Amino acid sequence: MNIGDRNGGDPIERLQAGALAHRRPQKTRGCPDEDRLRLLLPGQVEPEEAEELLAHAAECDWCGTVLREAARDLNDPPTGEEEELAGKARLADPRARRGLVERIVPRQRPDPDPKPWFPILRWWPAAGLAAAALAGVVGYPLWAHSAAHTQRLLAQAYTERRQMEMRLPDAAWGHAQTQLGAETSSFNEPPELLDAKINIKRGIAAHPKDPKWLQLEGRAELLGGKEDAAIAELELAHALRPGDASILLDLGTALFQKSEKTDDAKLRAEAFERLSEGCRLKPGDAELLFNRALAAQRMSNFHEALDDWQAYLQIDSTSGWVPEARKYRDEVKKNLIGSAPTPPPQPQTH
Amino acid sequence: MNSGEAGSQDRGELPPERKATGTLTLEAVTEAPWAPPAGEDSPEDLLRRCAHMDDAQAWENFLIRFNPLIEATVARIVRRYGFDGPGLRDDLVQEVYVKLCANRAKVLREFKPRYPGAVFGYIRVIAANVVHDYFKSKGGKYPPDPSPLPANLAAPDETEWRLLVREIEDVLRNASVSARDRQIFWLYYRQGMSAKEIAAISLLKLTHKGVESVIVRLKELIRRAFEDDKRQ
Repeated sequence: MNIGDRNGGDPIERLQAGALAHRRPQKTRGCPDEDRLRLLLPGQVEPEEAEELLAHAAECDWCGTVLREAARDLNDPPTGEEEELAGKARLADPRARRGLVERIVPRQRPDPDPKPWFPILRWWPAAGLAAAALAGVVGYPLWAHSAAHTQRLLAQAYTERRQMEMRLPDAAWGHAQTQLGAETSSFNEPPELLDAKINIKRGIAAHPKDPKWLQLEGRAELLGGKEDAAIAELELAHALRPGDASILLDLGTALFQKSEKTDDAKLRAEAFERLSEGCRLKPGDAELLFNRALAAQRMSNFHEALDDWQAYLQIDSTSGWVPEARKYRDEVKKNLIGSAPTPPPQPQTH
Repeated sequence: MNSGEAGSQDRGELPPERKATGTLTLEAVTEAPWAPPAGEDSPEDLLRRCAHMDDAQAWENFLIRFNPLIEATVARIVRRYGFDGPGLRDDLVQEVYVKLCANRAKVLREFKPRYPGAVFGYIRVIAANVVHDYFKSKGGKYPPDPSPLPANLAAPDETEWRLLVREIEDVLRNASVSARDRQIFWLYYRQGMSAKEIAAISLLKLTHKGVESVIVRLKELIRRAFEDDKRQ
């Protein structure tokens, strides 16, 4: 070592000056997730991972800066001014807080004051005429833009150009057409999907936090081959309405599609978990059983897959999906009796 | 106090009863108006109740106790990006709650109370992460530009500095300095963190004074090593 001779001066001062002059915060491929780095501060990372993160941050100018800035931001308690802002925020109002709590934990209580229905008999002829007129003038556009109609459009788009093995709610069987999960140009999309997207845009603009519209947006993204966007929308819809099995069906399907695209076993297991959660909420649902059976089969959980296919075929013996389900079931059986492993299931084309 | 405890305090390590609130300097936060009122759930118990997603009373208490902290954290980080405005803050606070509730409150379920009061730091980090994610998706600039070099400080050229870094690391390793102390040294001298900021990393289990004493010790070690080398 002879750097002291070369440069003279205090090595610590030169180290500090050099760090100020030459530190280059640039993210590299090996950098960990910044959210994880920040979790080092309150100790919410397992010790082994924490040690790795800390060792990396000590040497990496990008991660070191992220950690430094996080400590700077979060070390000091809120200032008087920040407390004042908190006191003026929307959620400082008890009514807004109650509203948020009701969205997080929906109340389930009977209507305390149900209205009697019989007075309608006195004025039903006039009401009937008014309703008919209203239906004629306002009803069609309302229907055409409704969430229920949009859901039907998405189901038709799926059947028209089926691009995945898993099922979508209310969709009839369709020919599997193209490669899995590819993003499609909007010019190649079925017109039903384009119509649905217009409705969804309008619905989201009017009701940005409505879980139904968020779910439909997620489903449309899934049909467009954009699994990441679909998962984000569906996670949000699920957070807002955790007891909705159809959202779990879509979320499980989106996770499965992504796992197929990236060959990620962890994602596939997460998809299976979501679909199982949906099955628990809505036992005997044909679409949930079908999709979960496929996920189990792809994970080589053949016993679970067989149970699901058999349960499925007991509740559906007539739809267009039956031949496909039987084919998958037979493949699972072959695997279980020890014959040569069957290649991964492919959608049946007629 | 027995000799062991005295020894650990001399080294600036937190005695067990103080480790509870010593990290992330949360004493001030836990003593603030969000401290649990007498006779109510501890913050950790409250989080556990909220994680079930079916307890409206728990969520009301959560909002009373934690929302001011979330609001203040969101306001601070939003300003760091050079933005402000109640509309954006309200939206981001709402996003924090979406994150807290997502996947059946996965974030709340995953929380591990490694020391009493850790929950406050955890909630602040979750809120900060939501704001960072938002600005990242909008192409916001982060982290800020590095501090400029003071005029009275002459920096070595880059190659020379990188060599110096390597030689200092060799000195530390040859002197069998622990990995933890080497990391503290580099966080301080290379990444520009202050002793107080380093002490906020709970894994290190050191007070601000403890971090300072590690730095002083290693600084002297390096100076001595370089002087010895010069004399030879």
